[in-house]
Amino acid sequence: MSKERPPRPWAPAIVLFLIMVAHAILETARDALFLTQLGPDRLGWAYVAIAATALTAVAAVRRWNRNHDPYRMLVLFLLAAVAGTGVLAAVMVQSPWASFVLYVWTGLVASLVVPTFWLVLDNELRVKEAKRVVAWVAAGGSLGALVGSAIASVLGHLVVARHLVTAGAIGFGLAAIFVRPLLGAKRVPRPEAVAPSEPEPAPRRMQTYAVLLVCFAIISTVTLTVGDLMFKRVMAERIDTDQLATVLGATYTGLNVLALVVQLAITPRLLDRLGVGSALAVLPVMVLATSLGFVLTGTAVAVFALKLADGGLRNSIHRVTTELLYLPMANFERNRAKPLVEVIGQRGGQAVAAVLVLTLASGEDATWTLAVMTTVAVAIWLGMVVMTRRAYLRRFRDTLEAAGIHREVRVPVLDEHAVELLTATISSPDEKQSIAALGLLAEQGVRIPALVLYHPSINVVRHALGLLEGNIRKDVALILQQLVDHEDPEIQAAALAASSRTGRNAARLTKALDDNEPELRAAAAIGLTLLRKSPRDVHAHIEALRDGSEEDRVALAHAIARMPAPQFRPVLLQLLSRKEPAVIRQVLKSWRATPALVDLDRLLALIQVPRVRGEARAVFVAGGEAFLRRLIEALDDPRTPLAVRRHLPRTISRFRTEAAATALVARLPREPDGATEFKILRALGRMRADDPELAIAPAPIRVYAQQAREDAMRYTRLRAALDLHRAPTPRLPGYGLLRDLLTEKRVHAIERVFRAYGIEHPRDDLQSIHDAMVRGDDAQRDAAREILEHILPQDERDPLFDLVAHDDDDDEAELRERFPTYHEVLATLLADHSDSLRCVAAHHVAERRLVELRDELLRLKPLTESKLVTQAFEQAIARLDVQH
Amino acid sequence: MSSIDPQTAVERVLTLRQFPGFDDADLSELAIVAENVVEETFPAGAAVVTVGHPAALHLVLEGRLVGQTSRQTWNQHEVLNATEAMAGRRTRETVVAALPTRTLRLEAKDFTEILEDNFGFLSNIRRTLARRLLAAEVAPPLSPSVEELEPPPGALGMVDRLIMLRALMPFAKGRIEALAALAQASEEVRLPAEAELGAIGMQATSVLVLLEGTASCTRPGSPPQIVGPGHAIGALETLGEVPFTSMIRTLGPVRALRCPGAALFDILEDHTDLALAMIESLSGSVLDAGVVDVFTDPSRVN
Repeated sequence: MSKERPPRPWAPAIVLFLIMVAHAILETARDALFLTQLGPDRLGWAYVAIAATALTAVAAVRRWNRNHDPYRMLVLFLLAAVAGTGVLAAVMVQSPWASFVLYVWTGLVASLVVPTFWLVLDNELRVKEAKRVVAWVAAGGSLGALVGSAIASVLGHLVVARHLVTAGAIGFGLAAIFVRPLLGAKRVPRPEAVAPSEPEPAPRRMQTYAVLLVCFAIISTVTLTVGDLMFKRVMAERIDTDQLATVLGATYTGLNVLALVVQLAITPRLLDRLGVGSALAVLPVMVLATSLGFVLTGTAVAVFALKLADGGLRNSIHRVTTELLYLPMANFERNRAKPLVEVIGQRGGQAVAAVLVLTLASGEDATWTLAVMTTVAVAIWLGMVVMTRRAYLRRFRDTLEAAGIHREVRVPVLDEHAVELLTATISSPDEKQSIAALGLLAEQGVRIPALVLYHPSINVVRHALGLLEGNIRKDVALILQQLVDHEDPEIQAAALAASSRTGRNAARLTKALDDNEPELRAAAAIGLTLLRKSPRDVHAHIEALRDGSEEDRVALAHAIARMPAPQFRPVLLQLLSRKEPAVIRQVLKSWRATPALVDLDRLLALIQVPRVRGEARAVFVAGGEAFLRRLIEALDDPRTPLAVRRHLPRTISRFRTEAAATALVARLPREPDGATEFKILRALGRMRADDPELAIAPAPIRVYAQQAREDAMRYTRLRAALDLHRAPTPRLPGYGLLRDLLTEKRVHAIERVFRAYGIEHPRDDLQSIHDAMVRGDDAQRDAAREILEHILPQDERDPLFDLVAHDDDDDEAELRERFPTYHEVLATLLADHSDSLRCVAAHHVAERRLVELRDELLRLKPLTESKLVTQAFEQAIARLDVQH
Repeated sequence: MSSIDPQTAVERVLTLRQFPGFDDADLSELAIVAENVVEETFPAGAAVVTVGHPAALHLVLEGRLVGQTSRQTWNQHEVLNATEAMAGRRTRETVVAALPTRTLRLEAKDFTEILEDNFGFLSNIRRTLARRLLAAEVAPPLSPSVEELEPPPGALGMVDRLIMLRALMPFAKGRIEALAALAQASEEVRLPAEAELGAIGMQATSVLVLLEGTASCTRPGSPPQIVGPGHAIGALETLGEVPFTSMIRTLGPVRALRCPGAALFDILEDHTDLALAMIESLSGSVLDAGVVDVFTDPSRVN
C-alpha cells in the first residue's frame, strides 16, 4: 500500500480566497450598477450575453491551447481579468450600457477563472483527499466571498458603486501575483489509472457521463437562476434604489457567512455521512421545499428562505459535491470536458433560464410564475441527481472492472440465430466443435436432434448418447434401433437397450449375452431382465459382471443407467461398495434419472469423494425437497463427519431455493467448524450472485459481518501484542508460524466481512471491491471506497475502512495494559475460538518452555470439543513435562 | 452483464473448445474466458509479444506465430505464453506473426483470476501439468529447506506436521490455514525396509512425503533412482490422477507423512491461492525442463 501524500489545502485556499474577494466586490458593483441603471427586466438579456461570450471564449481557448494545461490557462485568465476590469472601471461613467458590459464581463471572468482553478486542483487530488481538501479550499472561497462582500458593503457607504469595479481589478491583480508561488511550485499530477501519452478518443461511457454532467449543471443553474431572479425581483420591488447596493452587500455578506459556516461545520460531516451521491440532493431538496412554500403561500419569507438555501449551500455543499463529480474522470478527460461542461452548464443554464423568464414570466404574476418555474425545474433537478449518482458510481465500477475480469458471466442465452449456428455445428466434421455445440444446446435445454446419432465420429455419437440417455425420446429410440450393428460396442449397447424397450431384437439380446464386449453383455442382461425373458440364467450374468473386472462393473452400471428400474436397486448398492469412481458415476447416473432408487445415507457419504462429488450433488438436486431436508438435517447434526459436513453448504446451495438459503443463513452463526462456516458464506454468495432476487434475512448476515470485523481487529491486536513482547533470538519456528497465522487470519477475516456484505448486496461485485481495497492501486482503492460509501451506512463502512487501512495496532500503551506480559498474549491465544491458532499457540508454549502456562493448558483442555485441540494441548503438556 | 453479443459468445466458446487445455473445460468456464479475451489481428512481421514483457496469452485463431530466437511456431488452435503466465514469468522471446494472424489475447493476470474463480478449469490444468511432467520423467524440485529438516523424535503432532509441510512445500509458505488443513488430514507413517510404496498400474491415492529414510524408484528400461527426505512419492501421479508408472520400494526403515489425495483435492478447492501457487510451481518446472507446452498439442513436434 503506497504512502498517502499529506494534502496541503492552505495554498489553493488562499488563491481561491483572493479570486473570490475580487469576484464578490465586482459582483456587488455589477448588481448595484445594473439594477440602478438598467433595472431587473434586462437581467435576462445579460445572462444570454454571458452564455454566448463564455461559450465563444471556451471554444477559442480549446482551439488555441490544445495541451489543456489548466495552470497556464489560470494565469492567463487572471491577467486578462485584471486588464479587462481595469478598462471597464475607466469607462463606467461613459454610458449606462457600460453596466451591461460589466455584468457580462463579470460573468465571463467567473466562468473562465473559477472552473480553471478547480481543474488545477482536481488534477492533483485523489478522491479520498479531495473530500477533505475541496471542502477546505471551498471554505477559502466562501471566506473570500464573505470578505469581498464585506469590503463592498463598507466601500458602498464610502464611495460610489463604480469605484468598486476598480477594487475588483485590484483583487484580481493580487490573485494573479500569488497564484505562481502558491500553485505553480511543485505541482504533482495525481497518478492516473490510465495515462495515455496522446489523448485518446473518449470512450462512449465517458462522453455519456460528460453529457450527463452538462445536463445536471444546466438544470441546477436554471433552477437557481430563476430562484435568484425571483429573489432580486422581490428585492427591487420592496427596497429603495439608493439603498439597494448596501442592502445587497449586507445580504450577500450574511449569506456568505452562512456558506462559510456550512462549509466548515456541515459539509465534511455531511459528505462522510451521505457520500457524494446523496449529498447532491441536499440543495435541490431545500429549494423544492422553499419554492413550493412560496407557490402555496406567496409569502416573502419563503423567497428569503430559498435565497438562504441557495446562498448557504450553493458554494459549500453543492460546489464541493459537483466538484467531486469530476474526480472519477482521468485528468486528460477532465481537462477536455470540464471547461465546456461548466460553461454550457452554468452560462447555458443561465441563458435558458433567461429565455424562459423573458418568455413566461412577465406581468403582475411574474414572481409567482417564477416560483412555479423554480418548482418544476427543481423537480427535474432531483431526477437528474438520481441519474448522476448512478453514473458517478458506474465510473468507479469501470475502474474496478478494468482492473479485473468480468466474473458474472453465464453461458450465453441462445437466440434463434445461435441455436441455428449450434445445430449446424453439430454436423461439423471437427468433433471438438460438434461436442461443444451439443453441450451448449443441452445446457440450455434445447432439444438435441436425433439425427446426430448418424454422426461419423464415434466420440460425438457417444457424447450425444450420454445426453440423450435416461428418459429416451421416441425419435431417438427409433434411430437407435437401427444402430444395433454399429461398430462401436457402446453405441451398439445403447441400440440394444433401446430395442429392449420395444421388445424388438430379443434374439439379438440373447446372443449378446455371450459377446466379448462387457458393454454388450451388460446391455443384454439388463434388457432381458426388463423383458422378463430369461432363456438362460440372466441373473448369473449380472452377478458375473458385478464380480468381474472394473470394466465389467462400469458396463453393468452403465446398462442400468440406460434403463434404471427398481429391481436393480440392490445391484446398484452392491456396485458402490468397491469405491470405484467410474462405476460410482454410472450408479449416480441411474439415481439421478430415478431418485426413488437412491439410498440417501450412501449418497450423502459420496459427497466427500472429490471424483464423484459433482454427480452426487446433481442427484441431490434431482431428488428435490425431500433430499434437501436430508442435507439440512445432516448440516445440523453434530455427528455428521467433518469430511461430509464441509461439502454440505455447496450441495445445499445447488437447490437455489429460499428454503436452501434460509437453512444456510440459519446455520452460519452456529457453525463451529471454521472451514464449513466459510463454505456456507461462499455458498450463500454464489446463490445470491446467481439469483439476486433470492430472499434472505439480512440481519444475521450483518451480525456475521460485524463479528468478522471484530475478529479481524482482534487478530490485528494479538499480532501487535505478540510483536510487543517478542522474545530475543533465537527465533523459534512456532513464533514465526503464530505470527504468520495471525496475519493470515486477519486477512481472511476481512475477506469474510466483504463476502458477508456481498451476500447482502449481490449486484455490487463486492469481490472486486475487496480486491481493490486490499491489493489495488490508489485509483482502484479510491473507486472501491467510493462505491462502498454508497452501499454501506457510515457506522459500518468507517470501521471497515480503518481496518483495511491500518494493518497494525499502534496504541502501545493500551496494548501493554491489556497484555502486560507475553504469557497473557499466549493465554489469550490458547483460548481463541480458532482451532489452528490454539494448536500453534500450544506448540509455541512447549517450544519456549513456558511452564507457567501448563496450568492454563490443563484448565482449557477439557473445555474444548475439538479433538485436534485436545491432542495439541496434551502434546504440549507432555513436552513441557519432559523438558521440565 | 456480458459485453459481447450472444452470437459472438457462442462462436468464441465453440472456438475455445478447439484449443488444447481448454477442450475439457466446462462451458460456463469457457464463457468466462470468451468474455475476457480481446480479438487482435497482426500483419505478417508484426511483433505479437516482446521479450521481457509480462506474458499475455495469445490464442491463435488463424495464421502462424514464430519465436525470433527459438524459431518455435504457434499455429492455429495453439496458445502462446500460457505456461509462462501460469509460472508468473515474463515473455522469453519476441514472437512475431509469420503470416497475417488473428488471435484472442488474454492478459496473464486475467487468466490467473479465471483459474482462481473456476476450479474445474484449474483442475484440468493441474492434471495436464502433472501428466506432462510425468511423461517427461521430471520430478518437482526439492525444497531448499530440506537440508534443515529435523523431524522431532516422538510422534508428530498436527503443528509438527504443519511445520514439516511448510518446509517441504516452499510455494505454500504463506498459506498456513491450507497447510494446517493438510497437516490435519495427514498421518505420520513408519514403514519397514522393502515396503512397496507404489507399483506400475497402481492408482495413486495419496502423497507420501519422506521425512527419514530412502526409497528406490524403478521404471521399466531405466536404472533405479534413489530418493530421500523431502521427496513426495506419488505426488505427480496423484495430481495427474494417473496410475504409477514405476515401482517404488523402501530401501530401509522410512518415516513419512501420508497426505490422502482426496484431502489434498479438497484443500486445493478450498484454498485456490494454494492451488495457484502449486500450478505456478509445476508450470515453472515445465518451463525449466523444456517440456511441451500445456496448451500445445503434445503430438505436434516443432
